[in-house]
Amino acid sequence: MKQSYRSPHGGQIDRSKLLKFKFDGKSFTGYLGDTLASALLANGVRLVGRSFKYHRRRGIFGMGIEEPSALVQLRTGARSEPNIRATEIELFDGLEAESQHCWPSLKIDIGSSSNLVSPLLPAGFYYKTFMWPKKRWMTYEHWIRKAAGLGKSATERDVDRYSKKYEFCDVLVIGGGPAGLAAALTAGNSGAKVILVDESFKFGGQLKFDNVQLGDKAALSWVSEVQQGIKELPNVTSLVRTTAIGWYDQNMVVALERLSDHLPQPDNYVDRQRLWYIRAKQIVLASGAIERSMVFGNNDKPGVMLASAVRGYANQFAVQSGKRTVVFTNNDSAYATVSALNSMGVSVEAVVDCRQQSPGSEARQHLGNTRLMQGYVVVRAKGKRKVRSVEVSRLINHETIMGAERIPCDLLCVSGGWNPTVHLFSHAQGRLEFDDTIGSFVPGQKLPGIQVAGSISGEFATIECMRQGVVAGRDALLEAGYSERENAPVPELTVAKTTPMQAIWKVPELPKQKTKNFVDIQNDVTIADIELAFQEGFISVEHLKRYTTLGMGTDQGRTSNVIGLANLANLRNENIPSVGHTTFRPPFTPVSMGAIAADEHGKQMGPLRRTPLHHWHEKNNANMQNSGVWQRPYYYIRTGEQAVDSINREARHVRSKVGLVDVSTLGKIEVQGRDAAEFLERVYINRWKSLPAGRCRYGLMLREDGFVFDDGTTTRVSENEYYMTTTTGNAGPVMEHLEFYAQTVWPDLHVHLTSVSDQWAGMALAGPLSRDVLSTAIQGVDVSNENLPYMGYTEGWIEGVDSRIFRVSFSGELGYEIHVPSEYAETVWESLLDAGKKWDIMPYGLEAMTTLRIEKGHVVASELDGRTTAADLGFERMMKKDVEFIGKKLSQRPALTEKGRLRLIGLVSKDNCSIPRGAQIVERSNIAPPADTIGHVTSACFSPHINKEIALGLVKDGDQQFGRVVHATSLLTGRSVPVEIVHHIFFDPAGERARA
Amino acid sequence: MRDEKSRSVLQNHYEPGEYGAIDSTPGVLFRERWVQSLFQINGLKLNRELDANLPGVEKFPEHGKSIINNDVVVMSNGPEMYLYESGTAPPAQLLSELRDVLHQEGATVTNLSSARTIIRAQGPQVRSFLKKGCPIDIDSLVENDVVSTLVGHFSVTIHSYDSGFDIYALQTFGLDFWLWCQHNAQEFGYGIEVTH
Repeated sequence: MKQSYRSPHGGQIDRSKLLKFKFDGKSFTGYLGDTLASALLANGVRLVGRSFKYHRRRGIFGMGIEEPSALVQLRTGARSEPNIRATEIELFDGLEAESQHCWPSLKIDIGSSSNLVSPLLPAGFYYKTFMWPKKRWMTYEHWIRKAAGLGKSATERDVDRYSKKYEFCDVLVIGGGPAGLAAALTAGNSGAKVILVDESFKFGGQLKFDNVQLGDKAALSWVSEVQQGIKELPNVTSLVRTTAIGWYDQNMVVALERLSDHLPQPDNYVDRQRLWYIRAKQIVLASGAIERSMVFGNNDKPGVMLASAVRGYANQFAVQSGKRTVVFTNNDSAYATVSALNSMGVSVEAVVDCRQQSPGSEARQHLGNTRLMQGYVVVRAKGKRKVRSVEVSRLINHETIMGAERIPCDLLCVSGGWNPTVHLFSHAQGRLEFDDTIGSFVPGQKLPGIQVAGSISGEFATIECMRQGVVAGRDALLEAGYSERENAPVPELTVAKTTPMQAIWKVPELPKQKTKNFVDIQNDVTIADIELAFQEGFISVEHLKRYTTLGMGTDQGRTSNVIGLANLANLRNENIPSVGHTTFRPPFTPVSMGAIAADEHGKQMGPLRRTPLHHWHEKNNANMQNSGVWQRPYYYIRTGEQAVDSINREARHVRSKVGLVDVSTLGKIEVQGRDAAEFLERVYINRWKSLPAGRCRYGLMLREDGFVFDDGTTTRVSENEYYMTTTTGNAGPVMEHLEFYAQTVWPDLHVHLTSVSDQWAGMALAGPLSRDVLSTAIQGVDVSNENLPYMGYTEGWIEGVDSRIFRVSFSGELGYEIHVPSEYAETVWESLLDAGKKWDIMPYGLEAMTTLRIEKGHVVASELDGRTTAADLGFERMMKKDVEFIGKKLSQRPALTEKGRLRLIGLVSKDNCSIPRGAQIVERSNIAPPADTIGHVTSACFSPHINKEIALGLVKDGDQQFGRVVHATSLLTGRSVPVEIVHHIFFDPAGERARA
Repeated sequence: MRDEKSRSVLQNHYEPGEYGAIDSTPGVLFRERWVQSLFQINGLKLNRELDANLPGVEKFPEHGKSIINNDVVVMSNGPEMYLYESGTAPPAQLLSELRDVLHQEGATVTNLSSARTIIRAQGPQVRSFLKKGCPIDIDSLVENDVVSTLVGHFSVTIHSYDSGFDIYALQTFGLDFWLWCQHNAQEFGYGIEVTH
């Protein structure tokens, strides 16, 4: 289609670069520099969407982030994204967009039938309608959910890259309009580190759209000059396509940079979007202002647009938004639209100005010979599919109009004044004040670290905005500790006098007018909805918002909020400040989930921790699985085996011959210092001072509340040096716990702690032949039972590598833990396997290790679940009676010592079916929940050594229930297994094998 | 040179070459460093004058700073805490020497020679690269600065030297940290140098 609404000259587009795009499957052309909205307007497309509730026809209304109506489904496939404002989409070749929220087509939309029954669908109708009968709610919800929402999310995986970036600066300038540019250059000239961000793809703010003259110079040449100055400063970073979306504590601003949204697809290795976390000593908030709408009949029809947008499309894109125009305003700014349209040859039929006073001199210049209807208002727009004419009446007072004149037109430009963009100031807990002269909220008291400049302050004259920018930039650089050097140039011009805006929050209606008068175009909230909400008692702004949806959605009511508040104030017969405003919260504009997640997905979702033997495990058919943050070998599968076969083979082999398992995940802490023994004495429930060097001991520590915290073996390596091991999962928390006590509770103790979990790899050599293997592999030390008895410690060399040898056993077999520097782990592991070939050694995995430890009744995290005491687990005799230790006092409180507590027991399946992990233990099977439970299963496995399904569990007074048959019932599967309660040590209860 | 019995956690994932969006030269250059000895010294008072000299060190650095003397680097990595690195001295011998001197001062020494994966990152875009994951002010780091912080999800110690940074990551997270580095350096183009 020919761009019949594009003027042959002018604009800031590159006419040499013709771009093809599609909207609703139809092909169009535009130019580089266009937005989708400007290109659609250039092609004469007026209908672009349907409204949320009534499915009314909607056109392009604004020009930027304020756009409430022109929301489209952009791109296709994995890159498809709903609710994107056509006004912000930079045109690229091959762009495809679809209208949304309509069926079967945009022109013929079945949903628009809701408009016919709209009297039945007032605000909050669904709260009232879908209450009865109560049981039908699930049915209603199904259909309500189908009707809700706009557009469709892509169902394919996002193919783009996203990232985040942390930055620090002296001065962050938000907004690249006249105030922001002036502030950035002024601050930058001082040498301060400055970051300038602007949401648009070009700096200049409103100057891009307005064709403002500064004396004999175009304002855009000032923009170029200042931009050049900024470019020459290496200390200033300028970011276009970057929206500051939120202010957070300590002057941190989060900004979304759209790196590739203007391209068909991102270049290789380039992110689509990036989220910046910017900490600034000073912020200059120059976020500008957004034009308001006016409330009158059918003010949502395609062809009703903001005057500033029409002006912008004309000046920046050389696009005529219509051919016959009427301008409806309550302030001087809209007059510039007249000259902008006139310069393109577009006829402006009349300027309808509700004010009785004449506009200012500059506005009158823009008006030229155009008809001015002073003291008039547009009462309603007319036309079936789009605006064909408007009806204009004389405004007698706020509630009365007189007469009606019909003016044919296809475009109505409205300006209801301007709302400063105060959102980030509000995020920073800044109080807003209502400024009667502009009819909107402006920043109130000054906030530390934040300067405001430009139209956010309620000052709309270009020259004044520049001056404010210079002052704000100067204040910011001084506050940041820099000296003022050269200010940004500001032309020496006086500001032309303007006639004040006249607030008109709704245009009176003609008798029997029967039109919808929209306040919030995006959410289809009308004046009638606000009146209804008020009548029903929703008189707080927050309640009004939630009852009517005023100010919700993607535009967050940027063109409508203040109008809604003003009308509520009118109904309450109060002024606007006393009614207040809703709370602005981040994000300022919608942010894609991709940008929030950045690269934290897939492999980067959470880091994996690998043992130093990971590579070996992978090479040797280990089934690797995540266990917390660790990747651990569960079992080593052989040809023809199922997992259970491998696990049982490995477990049997350890009990009959010898096996080697990777235990590097254990937490390891070096405790050193003259008072290390005293420190351990206070930390553990058992004794440590008596432990001689070269010996290990099992230790249990409690939390302050008396429950068990963690366990492990600790070895006295030398007089003042202990080597503590912790459970894998508690390595971090135990270190933190010990550091807390060492640093803050007992600073008088000479003790230092260092985590050595990464320094030492651990491998457990277990089985009746383990001594034979070790004595073959090790040099420099005798590992016989006499020289290295059970719970002994020594050091030697394996393959020339310094090795720590601990005679401890988790499997219950004769065993050794061998700890070596991590980088040598593979060498030592392979050396042990080589040495063990003669004895048929095999590696075993976590599952076999679990089987062996359950058989031995050793507790792990499943039993140390934060609810068990030392006595519950059978360790009461370990607790020192005469010495204080952490948790001792509270472990003796009645609730932790009385009868009826859950005690550690063993369970044996009576029917040889597997015992469900986590099952509740009940006295009888097949009791409907909620059943009284007497305990639960903590760990379960098949024991190849007693050839039964066994489990560990916690049962009420379990140690007195041996021999009783109860039922392990899974609430998830409903499976119930009869089990006999037995002692928790199933295998070698005397511990003879480990001491062999 | 790495001891032949020692294995890097980056084995099979470390291929020297150039990757990502290379223009003319890589924006970031990576090299895995292997050091013979690395120790954590705890409890040594700042500005303490030692009775005997430590190998390669005449004094200890100020808080958050490092001192480099030939192949010995001493980094302050916390209050009364130092990382002591030696490129050549074997850990067992050096540990003994350090303990002889420092135990008298009430300080303790722990061997961490195998506990860290050390990535040297340099190049024109190295600061931009680090800013993608490190929430501190990277631009404020000058030569001989030492900070303990996060990069991505990883706890690291960063040592700033004249033309880049040495990043000390926990060895057990070393491979994932290395993958993070490569992923996040792609946009700048990156090179992997042969490990010395």
